Order: sequence, then structure tokens, then C-alpha cells
Amino acid sequence: MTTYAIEARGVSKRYAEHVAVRDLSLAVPSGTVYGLLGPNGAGKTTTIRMILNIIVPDTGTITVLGRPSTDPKLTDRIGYLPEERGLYRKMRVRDVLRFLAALKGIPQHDADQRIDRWLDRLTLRTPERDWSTARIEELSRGMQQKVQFIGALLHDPDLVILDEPFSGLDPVNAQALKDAVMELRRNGKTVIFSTHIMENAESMCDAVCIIAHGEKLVDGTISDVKTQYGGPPVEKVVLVQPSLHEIFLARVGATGVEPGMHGHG
Amino acid sequence: MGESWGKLWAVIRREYLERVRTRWFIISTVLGPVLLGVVTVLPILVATRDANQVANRVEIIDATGTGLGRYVARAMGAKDDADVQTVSPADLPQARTTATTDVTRRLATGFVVLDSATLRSDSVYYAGRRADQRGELTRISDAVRAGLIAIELQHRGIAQPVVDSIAGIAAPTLSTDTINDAGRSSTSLAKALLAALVAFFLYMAILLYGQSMLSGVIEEKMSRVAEIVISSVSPDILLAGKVIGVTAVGLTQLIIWGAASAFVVMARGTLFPAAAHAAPAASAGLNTTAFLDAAIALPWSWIIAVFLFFLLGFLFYGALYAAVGATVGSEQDARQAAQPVIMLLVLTAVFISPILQNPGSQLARTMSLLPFSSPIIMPLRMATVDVSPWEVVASIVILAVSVAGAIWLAARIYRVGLLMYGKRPSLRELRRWIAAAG
Repeated sequence: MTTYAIEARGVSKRYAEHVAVRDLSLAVPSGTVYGLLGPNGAGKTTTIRMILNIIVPDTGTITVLGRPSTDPKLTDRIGYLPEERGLYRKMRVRDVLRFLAALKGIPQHDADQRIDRWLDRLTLRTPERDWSTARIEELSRGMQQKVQFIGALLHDPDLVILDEPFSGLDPVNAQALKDAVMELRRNGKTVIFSTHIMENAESMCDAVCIIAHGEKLVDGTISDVKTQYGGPPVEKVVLVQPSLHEIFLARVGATGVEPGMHGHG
Repeated sequence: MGESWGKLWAVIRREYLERVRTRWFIISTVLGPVLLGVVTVLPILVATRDANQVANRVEIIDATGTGLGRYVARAMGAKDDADVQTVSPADLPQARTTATTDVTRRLATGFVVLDSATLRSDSVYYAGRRADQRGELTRISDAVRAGLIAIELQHRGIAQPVVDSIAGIAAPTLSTDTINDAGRSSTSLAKALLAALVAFFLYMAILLYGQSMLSGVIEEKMSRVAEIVISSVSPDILLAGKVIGVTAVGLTQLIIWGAASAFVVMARGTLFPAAAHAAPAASAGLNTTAFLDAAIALPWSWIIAVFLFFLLGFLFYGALYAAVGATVGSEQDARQAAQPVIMLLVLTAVFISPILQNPGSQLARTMSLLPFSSPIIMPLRMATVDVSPWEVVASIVILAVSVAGAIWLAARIYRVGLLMYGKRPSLRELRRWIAAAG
């Protein structure tokens, strides 16, 4: 029997002017990577904030890790990377991470070991440069985002919620984050991330939920969604112009030709 | 519950350490007393110096032809008639011009003109550097009155030695006690000044730390850190932690300053040797030693009360400032939104001086009970008059309840406001926030 990390039933959230989320129900199986997909303003962030009990739904119930979402004990088991990024600009990287760890109930000596491991892993601490003593404002935006990502994972949460985690990251750092997400999954953690980049969702997610205008359009495992809404498989014949890469190699007259490429100029 | 305490502690710790480590904290800790000293103690010292060392020579121009000037000079404490100039009414303008020059050249501090109008007890004229000092003017008019009495006695045929001896009766030094509903207590100018100093200090401290709290909340909100933090702790705990953390920084500064002041009081003999030897009766208790003696005479109960009012005042205004911070979207907005809170403080400061002059008045009693002014006004009153214990207790209870209320209210505004990035809410929207967070 499937256990669910999150079960939402009939959740709605209305603001003064508009309805952010309307009668949303979804179920996130434990130990999976789950994509919350939708255009800007679809209600993804509102949904995430309700799961985190930052805002309270007007109607409906949300169960998180088997408890009502309002249970204060839950916060220590959840890691969260908000869409809007920011940290205390004047604080040093290690102090910020210690603070975020303390908010999750991790004592300092324990936190320091975890911080070191993560800084090494995301190359914020290398033999050339140790960024842990730098102030946040000295870091590039990509590096700040990595610090926040570490902050969301320091306490080894069972459920990780990432709001648009890859936006603003260069391909190298984005890959490092993707690797970290896949490792979480291997360790049996549940990861929810929101995105509007379908390639990321397709390559990483076990299941997805597509929402727009605050309403759920589609949800289920990737294969279910494809079978149910994608129709039968279609054979596509694609004619492709030579890539820039091929043209470059041809003109420069390089010899290293990958399989499938043609010509020597 | 234990976990909540741990998180509260984490918030307090961050707030405290990040603030204490700033250059701003170090500079204000060092410069605060210097600045306060410049605006309060320095004028006292200068005035004392002035009174003790620079001769207060008043020239007396007597155009009455009765010898009034001689008596006036005696009544003002002169040993001889060197400062008295007897002129005919026709020469008066010339005498005035000369005397004015003497004053501008600092040969005299001022001059008095006695003429026929003076003889009729109608008017007497003074011009000089101390025309704005009540004490000096009273001294002069008292002396003129004594002179007029002597002239009158002369007219009535009283023997000259008797007239001289009556004219020579000196005004005794006035010492005062204050009587209020609670009974009698001693007052002194030094004590009043000390009280004003403390009140002014509390006012400045609350204002400065309030602003610092405001910008801290705005930074947290605008940098969006707040969202991470409130996914881990409730907004109530975050708010309480911030208010307590900022208060702790203020207390740290208070303790540093308190210890420094205690040192000055203890070592006053060494630090102000000249003042220590000055004749105590020279001026009405207005010198450095008197000032420090007043400080040392303050009972422990007063020090504890100041500490309590400071603590509660900080918490009260801290919560209000934090709530304001949560409603705004930028530093510019904040300046406007904080106006009502600043007005409460400024209103209190405006009344420091009137209340000092009449610390037992209905106004003073009311303002020492109202929560927004009691942290500043009650210590002020307590330093100048005996305030009945029940009034102090009532004031503290009202303030403590208001602190709880302010934190409750602020937490509700905080909960909603921290995630709102749009324009500032109207009062109606604010009411809805408070209701929604319930």
C-alpha cells in the first residue's frame, strides 16, 4: 500500500481580490520526486505555503507526513527553499547556516559538521577559497542560492519542498542541485519541487501535478499522465539541420568527429 | 514546548550577536554618554564656572539724587561704592552709553539705571548679559526694593546707623522641600537635572533602538529571509525573539553606561577636585559635586524601577516598531508608517520639562500611568518627588499588560504582513489582518 507524504483534500485559498487556489486535492507518494507544474501565477507558491502552514487554507485539510499540517512538530522534518531568495546580507555564511540549523533544532557542534560536508559538496569550500567566513553580500546570486539550498537540507528533512529551485542557476550548479535531489530520493526522502521548465520535470519527477488558475488540471505518475492525456505513442520523423557544433567543427577543420556527424569540409 | 524555547533562543541569539558586533553598537556605546554629557552636564559646568570665576559686576547708574545707588550696591553684596555712578538726569544718556561699552568689553556683566520712576517704585532698568536669567533679575529687583526701603526710612527721620543696619540685612539662602499628598521630601536642582538626564536618555534609547528594530524587520522582510524563518518558527516566536533580542542589546548598553556612571560617582573626588573644594553655598546646589551627590543619594529602589521601566518600555515600543516594519515594503514607506509611534515618543519628550517643574501635577500623574509615556515619565517623577508605591506598582502593571497586548497585536500583524509585498495596508485592511490571524 502506498503511503503519502502529503495528502491535500479540497483545499481553497481566497484573497480579497482573487482566488489563489480552488478545491485542490493532491497526493504525493512517500519517497518520490513530485513536480508541481504550472505557469506563473497558477497558485504553486500558495499551495506550497499552505503545506508548510505559513498560510492557512480557507477550506479543506492537508495531512503532511501523517499529521495535520498545523502540527508545530512538523517543521523540523521539512526543508524549504522559497522561490523568493534572500538571506541576511551582513551575516557570515557559517553563521547564517548555524542559525537556520538552530531553527530546526540542530545543536551547533552537530550543525558545523553538516555545514562543512555540504559546503565541500557544493564547492563553497575548496582548497583555494573558503566562503564559509564570507559575508552573504560578498557572494554571487548563484552562491547565495546554494547556501539557501544547504540551509533547507542541513537538518536531513524527510520532506523537501523546493520552489523553482533551478531558476537563476548556471548549468553546472543546476546539475549539482539535481544530483542532490536524486540522492535525497535514493535515501527515501520525498521531494516536491515547483517549476515551469518541463524538461527538468520530465527528467527528474516520478509524478506530477499540473495546475493553472488555482485549479488542478492533471495529476499522476509521469507514465500515467502520458497514457491518459498524451494519447497513443506517435512515431515522429524529424529532419534536422546541421548543428552549430557541426558547422564549427567543419569550418575549423577539427578531426574529432562524434559518431553520426558528417563531412570534413 | 521545549523545542519552541530552543528556537526562540536561536532568534534572540542571532538578533543579539549580530547587533552587538556592529560598528554602530560600539560607536554609540562610546559616544552616547559623551553626547549626552555635552548636551546636559556641560552647560551646568560652564554655568557653575561662570558663576564662580567670572566676576559678576553690575554697574549702578543713580540719577535719583537720593543716594539710592549706594543702598542698592550694599544690598547686592558690594563692599564699597566703586560700582555706583551718580549722575544728573541730563547726563543719563551719556552714562548709559559708557556702561554699555563696559559690558561689551566685559568689564561688567550689566548695569542698572535708577531714576525718578524707580523712586516711585514704578520701574527700574537693567541691561546686560544676564537679562535672560531670572535669578539675576530677582536679585536686582530685591536689592532695589531694599534700597527704596532704606531711602523711605531716611525720609521718615530714622537715624542713619539704624537705616544702614536695616539696609544691610542680607537675604538668607533659601532651602526647599516639596510637599505632596504623600508628605514632605527634599528637592534640589541637581536632582531635577539628574532626573531629566535619565528621562532624556530613556527617550533617546527607545527612539534609536526602535528605528534599529524597524530596519531589522524590513531587511528580513525585503530580503525574503522571513519566509524561511517562519517556515521553521511561528511568527509569534520570531517577533518575541526579535523584541527580546533588541531589548537585550539595549540593556547591555545600559549596563555598560551604568557601570561607567557608577565609576564616575565613586571616583568623583579625584575626577573633579576643584568642584569638590568649592564652597557648597556658592550657588544653589548647582555644581558637579551636588549633581553627583544627588546621583549617589538615589535609592536602590529607584535604580531597580528605572531598570524595569526601561525593560518594559523597550518591549512595548519594540513590538510596535516591529509591527510597523511588517506592514511596509521599503525604508521610505517605513519613515511615514512609523510616524504615529514616533509621535507617541515625541509627545512624551515634550512633557519632560513641564513635568519636571511640577512633578506632582495631574498631568504628571496621568502620563506616568499611560503605557506609552510611563517608561520615561515615571522614573522622572520618582527621581524628583516621592511617588506612592501603589502608583508605581499600578504603572508597572498597566505597562506590563500593555506590553503583552502590544506583542499580541504585533504578532498578528506580523503573521500576515511579513508575506505581503505590495502597497501599505489601510487601517481597514490592518483590522482584517488582525482578525484573520486570530
